[in-house]
Amino acid sequence: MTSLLPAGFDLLEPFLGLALPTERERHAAIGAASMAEVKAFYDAMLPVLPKALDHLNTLPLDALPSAERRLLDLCLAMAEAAMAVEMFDEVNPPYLMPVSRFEPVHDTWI
Amino acid sequence: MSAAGDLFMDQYPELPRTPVPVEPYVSDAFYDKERTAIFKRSWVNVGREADVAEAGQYFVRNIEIAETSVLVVRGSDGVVRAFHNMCSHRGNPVAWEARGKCRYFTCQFHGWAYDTKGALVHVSDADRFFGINLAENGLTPIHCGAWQGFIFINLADAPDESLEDFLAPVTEFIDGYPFTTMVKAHGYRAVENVNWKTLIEAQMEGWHLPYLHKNTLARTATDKGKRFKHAALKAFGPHSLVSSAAPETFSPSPVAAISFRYGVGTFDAFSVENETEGKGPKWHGAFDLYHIFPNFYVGMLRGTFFTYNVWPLARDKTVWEVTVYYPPVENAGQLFAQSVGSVGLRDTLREDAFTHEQIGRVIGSGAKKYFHLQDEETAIRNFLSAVNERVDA
Repeated sequence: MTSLLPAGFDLLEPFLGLALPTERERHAAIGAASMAEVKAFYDAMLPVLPKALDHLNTLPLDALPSAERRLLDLCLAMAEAAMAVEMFDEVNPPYLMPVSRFEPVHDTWI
Repeated sequence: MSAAGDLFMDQYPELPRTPVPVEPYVSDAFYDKERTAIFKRSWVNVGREADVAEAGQYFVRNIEIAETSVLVVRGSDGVVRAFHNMCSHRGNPVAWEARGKCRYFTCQFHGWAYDTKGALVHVSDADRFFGINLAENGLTPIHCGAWQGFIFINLADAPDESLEDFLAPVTEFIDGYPFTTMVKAHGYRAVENVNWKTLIEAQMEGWHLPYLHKNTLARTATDKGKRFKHAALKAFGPHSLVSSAAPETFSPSPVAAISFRYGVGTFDAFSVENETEGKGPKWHGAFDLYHIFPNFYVGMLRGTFFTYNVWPLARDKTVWEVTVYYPPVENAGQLFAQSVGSVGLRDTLREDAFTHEQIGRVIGSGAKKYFHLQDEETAIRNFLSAVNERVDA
């Protein structure tokens, strides 16, 4: 069976639901999770983040195998998780315009 | 209480120190004057030359307050031109897509066609019309120019000044920044229930950082417990600059710290001072944010810049477009660093957007006739003075 993630990153498999291709989807997925779930993802990802980026940096970005693409999307989901864990201490901070109205438009540029 | 000592306002004795009236934010009559006196006759940024890099490439910019749609196209001769996106037959826009590439614009209403230089080249059923002069019925041209890769247009029949003269007060400070080495990486668009001036003014002072952005950008750009003071605050005619210094101490969050090792983001760029070198831009601080009157901002940081384009839709409705530029991404680590930076900036600006609408919700109440501005908010006074000067002219 082909592994869903590159060798050495199996511990991230429970979080594959966050491996989404656009900022809008990653933000929505983090926003739909509980703080405990986001914290569990953050805690699992943080120690392996440099190793993941070092591994991905050995490959051409525009031709990543599907396992590496999932790992990259998990790294990018970490940008969203970091806001919840490091900045706001909550998943859906109340006094911000929602991303559904402050729309990322760059997903159409790539 | 009165302000004392070391004031930015002392540089601008012509600016009033009195409270500013609320009326211009809530008056339909004032908004109509802004339409004719500002948006139909100012130079406004509509895009980047890189958006139309090849002959035949075009984009459309609808400008609701100016009651038109602008078509910007690089002609087959390589020249970038702007036209009203409007067929000479009965006014239908000739380009319906937001961007694209073509050899001809063919009106989808009745098939009239124009080339990429705006000339009318085909009239359908021409023999059934009563005399059409092709040479006199091309797309209506709009004054168009470029500076540092930014395309500006001016809808006046005869602009009051050239684009070069209009920008001259700021170009000596900005020129030299490596704009063309960076590409659009991230962009955001919000339609907000607020007057356009409230939105513009919220970006004209960094004093709100330690308050509104205490959870986000404040930790990167300010020193906790210390009174916020701009590194520089300057008015250049209708334009202005607010600059913030790097904080004395900066401890990045764990994810931000990892991202800094792989590439340039936004958070690290806010935290480093810039040195003016050779032919580079003349820096004032870590973050130099220029407002180009009336509705454009260029925010310069080390290794990344972003722009705001603010488009009024109605007296109480405004579009905010944010575009973040970085060097082209070469690997996953750089993409990660840029994404951490842009998501952090996004959430900071979402805090701003929330506040704009909070103000928009109550400003029509009539409860307040005047607002108050302190010295760190001098750029707002300069902006309002430029608005009033045009509206009253």
